[in-house]
Amino acid sequence: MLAKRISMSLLAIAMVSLVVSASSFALFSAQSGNANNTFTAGTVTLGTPMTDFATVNNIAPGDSGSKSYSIEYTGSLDAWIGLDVSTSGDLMTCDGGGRFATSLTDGVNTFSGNANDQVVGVYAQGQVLNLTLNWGLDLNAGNDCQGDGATVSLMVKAVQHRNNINGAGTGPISWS
Amino acid sequence: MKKKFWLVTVAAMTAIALGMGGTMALFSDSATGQSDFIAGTLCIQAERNDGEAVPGPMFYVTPQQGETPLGIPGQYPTGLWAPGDEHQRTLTVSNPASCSSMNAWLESVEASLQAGSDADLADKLYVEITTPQLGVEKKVAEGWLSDFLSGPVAMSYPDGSRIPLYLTSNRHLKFNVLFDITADNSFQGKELVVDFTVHAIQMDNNP
Repeated sequence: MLAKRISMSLLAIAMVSLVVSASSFALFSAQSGNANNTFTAGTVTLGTPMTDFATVNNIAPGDSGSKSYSIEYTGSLDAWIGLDVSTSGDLMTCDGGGRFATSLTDGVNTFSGNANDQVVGVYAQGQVLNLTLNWGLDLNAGNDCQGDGATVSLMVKAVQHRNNINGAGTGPISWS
Repeated sequence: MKKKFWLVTVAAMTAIALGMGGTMALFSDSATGQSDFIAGTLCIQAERNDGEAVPGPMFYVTPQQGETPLGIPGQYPTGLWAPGDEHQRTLTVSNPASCSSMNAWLESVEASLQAGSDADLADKLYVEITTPQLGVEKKVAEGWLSDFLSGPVAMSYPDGSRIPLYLTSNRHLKFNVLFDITADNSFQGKELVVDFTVHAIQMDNNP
């Protein structure tokens, strides 16, 4: 009988403790919010070149010509368009050098044939960059140039315009 | 003998009178005490508050995404986000007497991701929440959006004190979101949609 009473008392104490313990965390609370917040990153992309440089063979002293290159800017964010251009090959250095000349232009600006990070401008989605490569072999080029070749390498690149403007406002802070 | 006769007669008449509906006028009185115990309620409400129609999301890319259920377009779309972009929007949280009866502490903010979202974009969106303390705007919570998606982010003033939301009052929470300038090309075109939730708890008996 005594044992039963003791165990009943212990059970009662345990239940009270449980209630007290639980109630100490039961504070009224509420919540409310704001739904459907959308964050979408824009894009900086270039389309597939619409025209491409091609190989020119059998150039003779006095020959000149041009090749065009076009590419569309397809990104959703406005972007700086830039050029990395390099020229190489024996035709560039034959007969003392300077016999074969190139120039690259977008119709407004002329760009170096051997320089990186040349700024073309700020392009919006759908705008097309048209470049023309003009070339010519000096009529006075000697036999040293026979059979020689030259390669013009062109890379068009784009980088976001917003939050990426140099102090002078003439180009990006960084191309990458 | 005569006396006994009268006693019996009076008793009999009294019994008859009571039986016929007569009343005996005894003075009496009573009083009842009633105690009612009604638990209070705490509810809070939140709406965007940058001067445009509500309800609607704080952050949206296009006016259509920010429109109200009645079709009123959002006035302040962020546009597409570029690394380095930063936008601030206001959420006003109120403790209205229409549904609440007690003061509250604003306790935390969390976010939940909607299906189809690019969750990794949340690693590049940094959220700062500010609210006034004695008239001065103070930062009360901050973290990557992914932290808010992981669970409630506690809010408190820089001095460690809690943020009150008194009954019938409201409080402006400014959400400032920065798209990390170091986000690389892998984040191009990614999109996520989140719901923000503000948690409050009773102030009374909860210092």
